[in-house]
Parts: sequence; C-alpha cells; structure tokens
Amino acid sequence: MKCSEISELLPWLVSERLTAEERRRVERHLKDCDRCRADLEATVVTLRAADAHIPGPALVAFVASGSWPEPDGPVFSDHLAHCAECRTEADRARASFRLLDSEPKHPWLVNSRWRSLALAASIAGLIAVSGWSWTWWVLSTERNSLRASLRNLEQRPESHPVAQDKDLPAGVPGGPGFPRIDLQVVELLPDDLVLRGSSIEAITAVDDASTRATVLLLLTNDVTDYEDHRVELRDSQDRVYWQVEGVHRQAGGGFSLLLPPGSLPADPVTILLSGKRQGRWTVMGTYRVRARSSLD
Amino acid sequence: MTRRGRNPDADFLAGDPDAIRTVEGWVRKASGPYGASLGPNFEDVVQDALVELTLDLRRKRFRGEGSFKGYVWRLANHACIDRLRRERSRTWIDVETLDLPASGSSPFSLVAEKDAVRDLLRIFNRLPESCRELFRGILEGKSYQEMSEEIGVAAGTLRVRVARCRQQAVTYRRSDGRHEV
Repeated sequence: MKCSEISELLPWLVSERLTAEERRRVERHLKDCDRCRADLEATVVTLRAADAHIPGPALVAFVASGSWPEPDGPVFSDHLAHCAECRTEADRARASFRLLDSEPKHPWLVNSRWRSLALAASIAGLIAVSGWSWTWWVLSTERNSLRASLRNLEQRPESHPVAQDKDLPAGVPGGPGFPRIDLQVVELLPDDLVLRGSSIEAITAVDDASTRATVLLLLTNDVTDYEDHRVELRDSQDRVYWQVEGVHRQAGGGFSLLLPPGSLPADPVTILLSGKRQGRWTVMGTYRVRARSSLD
Repeated sequence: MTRRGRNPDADFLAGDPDAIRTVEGWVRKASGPYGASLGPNFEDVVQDALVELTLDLRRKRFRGEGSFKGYVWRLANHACIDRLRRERSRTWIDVETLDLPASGSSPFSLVAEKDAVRDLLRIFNRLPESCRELFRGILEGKSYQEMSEEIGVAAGTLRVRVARCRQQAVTYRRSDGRHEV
C-alpha cells in the first residue's frame, strides 16, 4: 500500500473501524514507514482532541457560578463556543439550576408532614381570627347599644317635663340635698373569650361598687333563641347569693344587669348567665368581677 | 443523633427516611432536564447519583461550604452529563497493541497524562473550524464521500485537508513545549 492510501485509513484505524484485513495491511506498512508512523501519532492526537470536552464538574460549576475554574477558563470558554455537545449539556444544566432557583426557600415546606401541619395551623388561625373578629363586633355593638340606652336614660322626654333640680323640694330624689346616684358601666367578657396572657384581665375590677351603682354588660357569643334568661351571682364558695330571671337580651345581643351600691362583696364574684330551653337551663357565659374601692 | 432537619446531610447519611426521600426528590428534579436524553437510563442515573452522594458524605467531601441542596444539585448534574458522555463514548485503538517498532519516547503519551484533556482542548481550539468540522465527521463514522456531500467539498480535497489538519495539531502540540515527539 502507498503512503497516501495508508494516510487516508489512519483515522479509521485509530477509531477501530477498519476490517481485520485492512488493519493487518496498515500495520504491515507502519512497521517500515517512519513517516506514516508520524502521521499515526498526529491522527491520534487530532482525533482525541476532537473528542475532548470540558470536564463535567467544570461545566456544571460554570453554569452554577458563572465563572470558570482557573487557569482553564479561556480554554474551556473557547471550546464551549464551538462545541455543540458541550453547549447542549450547558443548556440542560442551566435548565436544572433554574429549577433549583425556583425551589421553596424553606425546605420544611417540601416535607408533606410539615405541609399538613402548616395547613392545620392556617385553618386554626383562621378560626381564631374569625372568633376574635366576632367578639370585637359583639363588643362594639353592645357598647354602642348601651351608650344609646344610657343616653335615653339621661334624656328627659318632652312629654314628661321634669322640674329642674333647684325647683325640687329637699329630700326628693333629684332634688337638693338628695345624694346623687353614681353610675358606672362595665363590659364583661365571658371566661371562654378571655385570652390568657392578654391585656384583658380574667377578673374584671369594678370601681367603688360600695358607693356606686353598677351596670354590668354581659357579652356572649351564644345567640341561641332561649325562652328565658337567668343571672346568678355566686360568691367565692360558689354559693348563689343572688339571682334574677326574666332578663332580656339587649338589641346588640348582650345582657345588662343593674347592681345597686353594695351588692358586690369584696371577694371575687362569679356571674353565671344561663338560658332556658325546653325546661333546661344552659350556661351561656361565666364572668368574674371584683369590687375595688378607691382605697385599693 | 442529629436534630432532624438541621443537618440534612447527616440525616441522609444516617438513613432518616424523610431525609432520603427529600434528597432523592432533589436528585430527580435536578436530573429532569436530562430525562429525554437519558431515556430508560434515567432511574439508573438517579441511583448512581445517590450512591455517589453517600460515598462523598462518608469521605466528608461535603464540608458545609454552601448549601447541601446545591451540592446535591451539582452532583446530580455531574452524574447525568457523565452518563450521557459514556453513552456516546467512542472506542479508540490501543496503539500499544499495534505491532510497531519501539521508539524513544512514546508519541502517544499525551493522551495518558492527567492534563491531557486541557491540552487536547487547547489544541483543538486552535485548529480552524474546517478542521474541527472534518474530524467531528470522522468521529461520527462518516466516510469521506458522506462528508464531501455534507460539506460540499470534493472527497479528494477532504483527504488532503485531513493530512493538513493532523500536521497542524501536532505543530500546536509541539509549540506548547510540553511534549516532544
């Protein structure tokens, strides 16, 4: 075989695509031809160079960080410019790292158990917020209703003109010398609406209950349409020392209770509000108050 | 025993089922873009990546610099690229098996050295695009005739070009000053 023929076959010798017979003929020639052996070396170098690619770790690191490792940066960068295979691999790596960037930042969100807990906590939070909102609405409504009622109490209707104080004889309520009734209004939340640790106290202090009449406004979430309502006052030994039935619900849904001066003892008092339905009494709310004198 | 969730790498190595499930999920997601190319080998690659990760963690190759998740992501990408390259790897003749007279220094030592890849890339980068195109065609097993039809150059011209490109490659290698023939 001539050198020119051998030279043409060298790439296929190196890439093992020659038949056994062709390989024998080429080897036989190479044994005696320095020039063709030099060509063989050149062929090996060139084909291996053509099959060389950027090392996988370097390619991935480049995609992840945007920079090549030193000192190979220029070589790898040049290769990427003309190697379609490396560019395809780089594109896939970029797509992979875009998925990493889109991953949730908090790994616990990926865990299904934590997702379930998060969902349960969200629902519980929603229920709590709804309950507080309802309570706030009840409080606001009752407050407004009570103020309106008090204004009605204070205002004298034109059809029933009342003499001025100075016109009343002495000793008559409202007249000169007659002690004025000092009134206070206290809103009470039921026990189950009092948040432990919140600024709302579990026991509501009622000022100067010995000298002042007190209107207690009992707020409740229970909107059941009962046949009748009852209020009980219980002392610290849980003994009922005062009760009244026939209490009516105010327009806003709460219940008002007027206590004369001195009807609240010094010890904490428990107030039970109950509703009657089909002969059975059901507790609608439990409240706690304590009288506090100005000397406390 | 680690506090679960704080050291995902330690949890994974300790065999915590949640950690393993999470890490496997990461590997699958990171390997997703390679799925079409890997085809039926995808599951093998996922398992290869998990094995590689286990070995890396045992050898303490992950030193906590950067996120563990990012480490897993890079490892999964390595595994995919490595598998794809193995699938298309070409066989080369072992020139030592050729019945040739021994020479002073092996002219084929270039491909055996650890810096060979960088040197080969440097050589190939310097070749003109016509040479690169020609040798890529040879790598793909195309005949001179096939390449002639593709490129639009006569087969005889391509044969001459092969010889010239070979010589240029050797010249570039010599000019690096690292290897002498």
